[in-house]
Amino acid sequence: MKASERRECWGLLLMDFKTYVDQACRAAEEFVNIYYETMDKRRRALIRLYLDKATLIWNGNVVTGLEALNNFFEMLPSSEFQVNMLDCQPVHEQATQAQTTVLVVTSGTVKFDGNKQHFFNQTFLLTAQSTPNNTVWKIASDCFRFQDWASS
Amino acid sequence: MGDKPIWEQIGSSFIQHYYQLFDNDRTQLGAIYIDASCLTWEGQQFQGKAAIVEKLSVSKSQGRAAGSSFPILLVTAHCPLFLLQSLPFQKIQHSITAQDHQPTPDSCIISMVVGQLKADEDPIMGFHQMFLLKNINDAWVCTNDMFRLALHNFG
Repeated sequence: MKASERRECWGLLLMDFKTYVDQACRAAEEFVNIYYETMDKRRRALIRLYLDKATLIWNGNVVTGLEALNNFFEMLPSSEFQVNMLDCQPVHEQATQAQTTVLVVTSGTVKFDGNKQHFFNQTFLLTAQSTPNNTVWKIASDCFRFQDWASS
Repeated sequence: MGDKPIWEQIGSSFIQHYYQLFDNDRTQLGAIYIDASCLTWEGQQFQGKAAIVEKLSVSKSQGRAAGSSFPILLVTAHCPLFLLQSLPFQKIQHSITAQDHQPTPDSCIISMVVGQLKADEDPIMGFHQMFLLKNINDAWVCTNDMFRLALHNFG
């Protein structure tokens, strides 16, 4: 490969990666908005956003699979989330059968009914499932903790 | 007996190693990242081992003026002109409040950390950080790293 061709390749790689990052992150942001709105206003629909084998760790409590998640979210008091920050990164998938995967970290405040307000942090691993018509994002892993967990 | 799951063992080992390196000699952190690694530090994105290590290293500025270091211009064969700013503090100490580890569908590990840190003579601040760990050639490396200070939390 000539040096000029090589430089072009690197340029294209960078552009593609940046575009890829931007697209992935915009999709993730949309997903996050839907997630917290569903959590606050349509709690029973929330598990539709999770993969069948998804795991959640909620303030140290491990919840695995849709049935357990369903029970958990039913028990959790009603919520008012306010997201203040969001960071997002695509995950480099080197396996051939990999689906697009994105990591999202959110933080903000939450008030559960009957409890005081807390600062929270949440990490999602999201997987894109593409159909001919659209792309559906679902949660593969979810980790939630109060920032002030030790003293809460 | 209740042995911890393997991903918790690996995750907590990594966490311990990472913060020990970070607090004692952050120039050594390069070994845990690869060329495909991404770091998001307080909202700034860094791509690749070299850029990450540059960011995490000790600042080359003479002293701290109004909380910012001199920006460092970095040009490499692969990258466009980057404006990088190394971390401005000399001393740092992390204290972990809680950590969570989960396996991912493709055999990686996500680790999430919540804690507090103290940099130089600054007041203690809360932070949270997330790592995605991948096993490459029998070594666990970090492919994704996201760090944020809990700036709103004055508790």
